[in-house]
Amino acid sequence: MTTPHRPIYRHKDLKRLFDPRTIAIIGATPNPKAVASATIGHLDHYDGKVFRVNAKYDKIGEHPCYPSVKDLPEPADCVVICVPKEAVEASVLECAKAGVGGVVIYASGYAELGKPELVAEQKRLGDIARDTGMRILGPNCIGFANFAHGAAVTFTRGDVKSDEIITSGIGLVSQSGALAFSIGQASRRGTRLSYVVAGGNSCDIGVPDSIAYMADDPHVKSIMVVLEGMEDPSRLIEAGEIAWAAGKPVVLCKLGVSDQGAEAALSHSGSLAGSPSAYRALFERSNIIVVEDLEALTETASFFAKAPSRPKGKGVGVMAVSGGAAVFATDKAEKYGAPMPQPHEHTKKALEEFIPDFGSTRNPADLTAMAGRDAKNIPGSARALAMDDQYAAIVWPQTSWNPNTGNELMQFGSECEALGKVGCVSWLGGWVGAPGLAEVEASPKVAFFQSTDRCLFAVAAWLQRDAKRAAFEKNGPRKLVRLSAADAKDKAAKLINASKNTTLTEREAKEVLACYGVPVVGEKLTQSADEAVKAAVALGMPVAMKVESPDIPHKTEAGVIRLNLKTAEDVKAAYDAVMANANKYNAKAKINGVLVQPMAPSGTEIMVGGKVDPLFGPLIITGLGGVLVELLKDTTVELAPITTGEAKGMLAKLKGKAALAGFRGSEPVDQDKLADVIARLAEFLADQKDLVAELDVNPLICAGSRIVAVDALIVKK
Amino acid sequence: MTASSCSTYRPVYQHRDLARLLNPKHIAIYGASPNPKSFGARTIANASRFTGTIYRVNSRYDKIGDDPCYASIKALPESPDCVVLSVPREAVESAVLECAEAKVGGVVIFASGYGETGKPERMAEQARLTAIARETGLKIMGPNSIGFVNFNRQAMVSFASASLLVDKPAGPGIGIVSQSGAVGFALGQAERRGTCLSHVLTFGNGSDIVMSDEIAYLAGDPECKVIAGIFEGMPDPMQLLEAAEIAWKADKPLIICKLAVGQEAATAALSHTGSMTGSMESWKALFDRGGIISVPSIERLLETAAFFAKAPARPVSRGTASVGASGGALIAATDAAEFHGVPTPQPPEDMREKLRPFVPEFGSLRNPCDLTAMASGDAIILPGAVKELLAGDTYGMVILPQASLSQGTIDRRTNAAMNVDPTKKLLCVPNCGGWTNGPGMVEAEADPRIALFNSVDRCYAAIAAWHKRDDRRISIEKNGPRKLVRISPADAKDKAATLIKASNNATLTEREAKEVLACYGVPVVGEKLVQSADEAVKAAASLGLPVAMKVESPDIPHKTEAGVIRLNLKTAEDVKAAYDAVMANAAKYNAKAKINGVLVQPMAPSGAEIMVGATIDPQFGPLIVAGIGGVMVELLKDSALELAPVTKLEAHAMLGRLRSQKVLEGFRGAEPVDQEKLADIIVRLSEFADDQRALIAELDVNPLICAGSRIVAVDALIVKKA
Repeated sequence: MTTPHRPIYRHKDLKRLFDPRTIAIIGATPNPKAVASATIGHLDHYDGKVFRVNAKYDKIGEHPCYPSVKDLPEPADCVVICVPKEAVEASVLECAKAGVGGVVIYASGYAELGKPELVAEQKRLGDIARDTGMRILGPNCIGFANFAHGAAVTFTRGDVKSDEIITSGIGLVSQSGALAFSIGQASRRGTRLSYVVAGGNSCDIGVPDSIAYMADDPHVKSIMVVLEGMEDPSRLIEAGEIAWAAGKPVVLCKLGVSDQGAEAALSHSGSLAGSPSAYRALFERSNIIVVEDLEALTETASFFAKAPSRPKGKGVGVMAVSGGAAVFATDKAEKYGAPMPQPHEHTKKALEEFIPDFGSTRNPADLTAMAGRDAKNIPGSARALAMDDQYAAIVWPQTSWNPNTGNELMQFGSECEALGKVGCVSWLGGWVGAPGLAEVEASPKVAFFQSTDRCLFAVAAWLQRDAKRAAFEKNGPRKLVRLSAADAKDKAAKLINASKNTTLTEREAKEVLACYGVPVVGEKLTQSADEAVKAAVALGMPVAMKVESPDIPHKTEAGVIRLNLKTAEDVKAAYDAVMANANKYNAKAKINGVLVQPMAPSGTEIMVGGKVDPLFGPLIITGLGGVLVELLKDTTVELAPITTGEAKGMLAKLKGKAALAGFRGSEPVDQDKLADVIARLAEFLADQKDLVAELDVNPLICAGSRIVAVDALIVKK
Repeated sequence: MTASSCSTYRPVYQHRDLARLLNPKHIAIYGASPNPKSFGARTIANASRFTGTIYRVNSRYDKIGDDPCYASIKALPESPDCVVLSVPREAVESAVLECAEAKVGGVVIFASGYGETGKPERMAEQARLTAIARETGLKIMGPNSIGFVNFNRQAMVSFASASLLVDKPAGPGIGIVSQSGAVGFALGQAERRGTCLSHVLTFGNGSDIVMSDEIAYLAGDPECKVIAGIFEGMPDPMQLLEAAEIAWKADKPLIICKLAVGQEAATAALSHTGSMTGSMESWKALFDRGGIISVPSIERLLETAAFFAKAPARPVSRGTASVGASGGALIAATDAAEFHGVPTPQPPEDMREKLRPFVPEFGSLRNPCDLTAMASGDAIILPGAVKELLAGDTYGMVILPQASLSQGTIDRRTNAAMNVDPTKKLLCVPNCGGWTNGPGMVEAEADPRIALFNSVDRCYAAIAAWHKRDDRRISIEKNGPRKLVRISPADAKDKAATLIKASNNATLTEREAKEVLACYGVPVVGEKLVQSADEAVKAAASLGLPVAMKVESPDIPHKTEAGVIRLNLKTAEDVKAAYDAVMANAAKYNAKAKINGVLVQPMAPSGAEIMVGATIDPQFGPLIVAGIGGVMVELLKDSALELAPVTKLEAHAMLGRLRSQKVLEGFRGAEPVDQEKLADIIVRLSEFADDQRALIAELDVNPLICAGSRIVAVDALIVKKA
């Protein structure tokens, strides 16, 4: 599935479709059960014009009905195609001809069924979009909603709350339509959503386009995304950059991360799910905040819509009436890496006024059950913590709900907000529908969570995002600096093409990598003792020597290996000895000669691999070599090419990274040098992505700063 | 808080011990007052639905409102089952003594300012309450307690301001036990969303009644079906093990959320209720030992408990099917199933045929069964498909992820649930949407045929826990109840203790340590110091050939360079020759060296390196840990921990939990390790740790070299108790 490369759609490209002044429904009918009628039913609160189109009717109810889109009194910005699949293509062409801004196609039965003729049918729709400049949402989609204008352009039978105009909130992008509108129902519990877009099979507009649109839309404060898979991950990076530049956080949940889930995703929307680790690399590169579960999505995005864009402080202050709740929140802060520094002395002093002596003025602050005794205690404690410059967020794990709780939470939030801090409430109680809870959720001053896990996750992600932003401001945007020689690409390509094998021999592979300045164990095939000595001198002593012969597979038993030869005399003697032994072992053996290799130093074993993924392109993988990789899959993946900084980041993510720091008295690995080698190998993969399918360098032996590839494998495409 | 509770172990209270206090016919409020803001008045207001008698006690009043007020407990017409002490801390102790004298069933103490302050005098005050309970048999809840709720009695015995509708529940429900009172009552509010609860029990500082007692109480209470516990720490974890055993025997699932798992949180917990939290690994070992279902977060606790309260005791099948109108939600479900190891087999051919009429053309006639948006406009498709999936024994649970809410989706869900027989299986409904408090949710939660979740992940986590509980049951059916069989020789304990005491070192020398372990039948690399070639030959013969030999001399540190080591000697002649050779080399190397003799050791075979260690924990007692030796353990903390002593089965299970267990299975062409033999050694070492818990602090056997069934401890370290 190769996607024709086109630039990502921007706000102006999609504005007519997603922010229409006029909407036309092709296939409008008086039948109230039809999807067209369901769509019109959701448009009661739309502030633009709605036109009905159907050649069979003059009027539907009170409303005029037009025979075709070209007969409308004014051009339609958005057209919803509510006709059976067979009639879709003709309608789309008609709309394109009439200068429509964009169409929504509900019909199913395209690429999601996997049949070639249906895939082709979908591709024709995509071609129309490309050729005419008219945008298409769908097919197999449930539609979209623009709550800033009351426009719910969807046939969903779920309850879409379009009566309230939301001019500032979360923009939701999803492939799955049912999920989009069910997540969108969070508006019923107070969550502020300004857009819901469900792209279905995405023959034209994809998830990245919708993200880019929302990044530049004034009604969107944060963007949340439900993703199953996509055909062009690199476009997501572009969307991530646009959102980053616009200062809009993108929060994403990836479905289809398991093998079976990925299989289900393929049959659901016909999308390639890709490997979870490659996606992780992609999201991180795109500065996207990833949540593991659907239920974390809305609350995290809602937090980001409410929190100030830059935190004022580096840590979190926790306060609670329940000591148990305080302990729980502290567990979660530690779990997600949100620092909880102890309060300054003056903060403690200020807290003492509101906390009894059997409580605690530490962080977490335990106000105890006495907090309710005086209405000053909760806002006072919140203010004291919010005034401490260490705390960017104040977290309040709320236990039981009583009639006054809503007020207390609002007061808490106001105190934090007044000081430029974000007040977060995590609701631990069992009473999900407690009265007044929706008001708290709707308040821009309180970031509300139904899970303490999710609360501290979001706060930690916010602090980490800011650290990233600070690094970005300091170091500038990501900049790739080519390390390998200018002629490496051509030289290596020639060598690869020259090899007759689908898998290059070890010696060929090493030769290829050497073009990129990757240090490889040298080896020379020699035909005499004198040649061996010359080779040993050139390679550097000590050396290893072995007879190369296809007829002597077990070299140790045959006595044709000598290790750790330190002098010319040793080398000479070894040459004669191994040749004699070879002869003794099998007089008829074909002898290519004697291979001379420098002794690899003993050191930490690293593996660097890579593959050229049909979806993600070149990927580079690093892990600890030997048993650790094989047993525990302790590896990290990046999209190649990478910077040396990113290569170092890969090493830092290894669980067994302690092995690099000089484990058990061994010399610490020169990580700058190792990162340099990894970056070169990434450049190799990126350069040769059309020729190479796989790379495996294992092990790369690292003895301090002496790093050398001892074995290498390259599989051609 | 006393940490050395091992020596003063108190068996947990049983149901009958706490029945008067927790299931009272009469409640007396000691310190009742007309001031509506007082704890006493708030407690009386909270208890307004109580089905028994309430007495007010305060010598200052004859009447409070229209109700009589008594001067003392003695003055009451009968000895009350439950007395709530709503008096300041200073007045608590005398009130408790008065209650003990009047033989009341038990008291609840609200007052704070005891052990949780960390002040010695306040801790002593709390200890005096404990002493009264021990001496008089009076049961005490608290101090620093928020009280409890007994839903069947409609008794909310608490000053808490939480809005709790304390109605008689529809049937047996969840009993909540919480160390934190506020968290317990917050969870109790789940009753407002339709969850069926039997009790909310707290215990504050636990001067007498502790969490484990309340668990044992609930295990014996017919109103309680499932026990949900949440706590930070406890002085005597062994009591929890005992309570878990009681709950298991009563066939009541026990679900626990352990707070304070991190460093910072542990510090906060210490200042909260003064409790020691223990390492999470130790707790996990204890939970597993007791068949306790442990959940990682508060929001998971009640959903899991509600699931267990509704689920049949045993699955008819481990397989699960998911079905619905949202393909995206079904993918999320499939991801979660795989993550939690819940099987999702494909429907058999005959079931596919029966499903076919209900699956639209664009849908998917497989598991997950995607009915597409067509199902959302149709009253037949979803209930029909669910009925077919429920039929027979193919699937033990059917999962319907809930997407958007509308009257239609509620009706279809209700119709789908019609075919559920909750004694066999349930319709699990994880809500994927945002409208968590939407219409129909309370009804679904209260429906015994529907297990409602607010998370796909939590849904499958609960099913996986249900399967794991069944695994334990199957194992007990197969192997019988846990039975410790002593493997080590009868005299091992005494012999080893004598050796340990005889050593003058705080850390035993390697040779001493190996000698100690040899008492337990742990194979150790033998070594003999010999003074002549003949002795060497004898030693080699008794140790078994091949052997290694090395000169032992403090003056020859680098033995290889000095040529005083000989390896892999296979015959008596070799040994004799080696003795002479190394002695000669030693003399050549340094004629003045002091030579202790020549050490003869059997050659350690090359094989997988295992480490086995033990510590004596002040809370948990002896703990044994096993892992793959060398880099694995040190770099990746890949080890398994158990409470010692362990059974053979448990030792096997420890090895099974190692992430790198492949090393045992003959990794990279090596001989597979004899796991039976290795488990035997782990058991012996666990018996050693248990026997010598008063003498030792630590044991480290690293490595234990395993070459097939030849297993030998090459190095060992024993640290004596300080």
